[in-house]
Amino acid sequence: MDGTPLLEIRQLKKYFPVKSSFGFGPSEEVKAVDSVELCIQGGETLGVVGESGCGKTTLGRMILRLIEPTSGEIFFKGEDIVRRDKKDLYDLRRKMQIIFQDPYSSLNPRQSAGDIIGEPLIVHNLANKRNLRNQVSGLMEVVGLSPDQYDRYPHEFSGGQRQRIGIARALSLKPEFIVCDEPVSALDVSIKAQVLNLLVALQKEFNLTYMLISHDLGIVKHVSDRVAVMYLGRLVELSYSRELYRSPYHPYTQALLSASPIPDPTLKRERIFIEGDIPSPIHPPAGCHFHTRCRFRIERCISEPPPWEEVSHSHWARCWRSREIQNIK
Amino acid sequence: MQNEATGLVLEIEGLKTYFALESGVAKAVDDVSLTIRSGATLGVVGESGCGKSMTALSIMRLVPKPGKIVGGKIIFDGTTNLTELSEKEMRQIRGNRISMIFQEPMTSLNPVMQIGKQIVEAVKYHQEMTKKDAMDRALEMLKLVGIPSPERKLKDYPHQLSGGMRQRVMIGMALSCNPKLMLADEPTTALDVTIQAQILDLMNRLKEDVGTAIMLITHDLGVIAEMAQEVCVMYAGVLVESASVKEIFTNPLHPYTEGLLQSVPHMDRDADLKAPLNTIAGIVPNLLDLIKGCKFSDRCLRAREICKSEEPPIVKIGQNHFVRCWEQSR
Repeated sequence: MDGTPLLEIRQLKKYFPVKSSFGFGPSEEVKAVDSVELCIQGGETLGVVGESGCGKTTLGRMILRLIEPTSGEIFFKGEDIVRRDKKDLYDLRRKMQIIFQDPYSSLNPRQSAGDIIGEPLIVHNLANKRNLRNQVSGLMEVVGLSPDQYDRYPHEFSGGQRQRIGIARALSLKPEFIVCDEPVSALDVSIKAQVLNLLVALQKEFNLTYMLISHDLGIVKHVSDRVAVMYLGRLVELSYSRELYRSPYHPYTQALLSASPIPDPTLKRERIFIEGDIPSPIHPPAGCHFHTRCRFRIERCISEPPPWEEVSHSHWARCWRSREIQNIK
Repeated sequence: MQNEATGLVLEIEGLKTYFALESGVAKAVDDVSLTIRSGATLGVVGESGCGKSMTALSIMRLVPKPGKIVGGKIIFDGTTNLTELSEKEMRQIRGNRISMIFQEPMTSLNPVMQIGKQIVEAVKYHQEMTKKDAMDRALEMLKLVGIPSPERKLKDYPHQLSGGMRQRVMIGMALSCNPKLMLADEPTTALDVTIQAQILDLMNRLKEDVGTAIMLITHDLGVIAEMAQEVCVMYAGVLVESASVKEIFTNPLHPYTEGLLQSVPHMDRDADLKAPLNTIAGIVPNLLDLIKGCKFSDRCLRAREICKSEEPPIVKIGQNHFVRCWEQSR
């Protein structure tokens, strides 16, 4: 890792308009991503965790300009890509790719595996008819598929193999940065490990930078250098993964970690429950978004949103009480 | 009446549920035997297509066509063999003495019926009760499962509730007739972790209070570790190992169980970052195209000649520890 980050995100926002519940009156907004600030270093994996509706997927897609940001800046290798014209993203797409969650709906059922993997090469004029098959076969081998399967269609593959097709397609343009959006959630337990190992091996081989979006905290910890936690559109905590899992500052992170089941029946732990459901992102609670479910809530949390601050070295949190919280039991 | 002698609420012996398809016979459940102690939680783990859901549906006698129970016994409460009951007799048991909850509560609740009425319907079908008493019972169930302002929620429709709340309603409905056994098929898979923790806690608490035994089907080993006392591991329609939860996690004997446990990253341990996880090579088999011998032998690193030609018998290793592997049968 060197000093300049591969990706720097400043005050990134995405507000989706929604119709008000009665069909008239003022229209409302879902603040799907609200003032997110992040850096991703070249070669690292940044894990992004949070529950449904927290904005993690929207964030990932905005970085790729698959969703247009409402405001904010995204610097990729020093250039603000938000200001680029939409038609002028061609070369950027080569450098940034995405792997989707569902290998069933993200592959065209009428295209053969080889055509799916080779399509980006054709679109970007990186292959001609003669060497396409060779290049695609090479990619298939890299992700652990057999080149014999070139002419097979997605339905002839298992879930894990389909995800490998998706990975090969993402790799075909030799990208530097890949957003992995729940890459193993749809897979069986024994297959998850295979695909995770593949992602890690590819990262080493091609010096890839990943943003790994997942709700599985065990997986995120295993493969991420740093981890960001999101809640209702805001980042609430960010740190090196070991540090974050060992000594979380934010009460939400603490609860999230404690709620995740650990496959060890001999382990007895004190579980921190958080009451209630996740509030609607259309009307998130004022002040700190988490205050309605937080056991450390004080007056200030209800009215004033806490700032995003570096509480200890490279460990950021958004909580009024982050400095004292680890000592409260 | 509870079977006092054995304390078993359910005994399955050699259950076979097959699907006769044009392309062949899919043995979704093949010679599965298991028992559930009354008031305990049995965890059933396995990957997609291993037969765990079909086992539960067989117990409920709700196997979808063309599936059919072709062999075995399902003894409920020590006396009744569920496979021999008529459809009419089965209706008296379903939802009354054995109930079931599913992964996605939205698809199992009636979207155009108030949730209070749905619970009343279930209660009144099985018990002589006035409408008012049944409504009181529904209210009591919503309180029991921790739904805030239950009086108001009785009149709500399913879409007005969050996923976690819907699952609570399902559990309330499932427990409304005080069943002896509740089958829970991936009850928290569709929920967020913090909500999952709430629902699992609720199920554990109700198990203590109501005394209902639970058969918990899941692919999540973490959920198994926290909920179950006994565990069954299934693979390709076959039961490969069963033991107490501690025994399964500390002393797994079947190579598949072992591989499964090792392939999951542990959040609580500081393993080397990005170190390769142990994997099970190959893919989950297709039930229509099963190999001869041990179903796991093509993915097993320790497979020998005999594994590929002959299916191993299930043998008892320790107290309550059963395993189906040639390595263990001498």
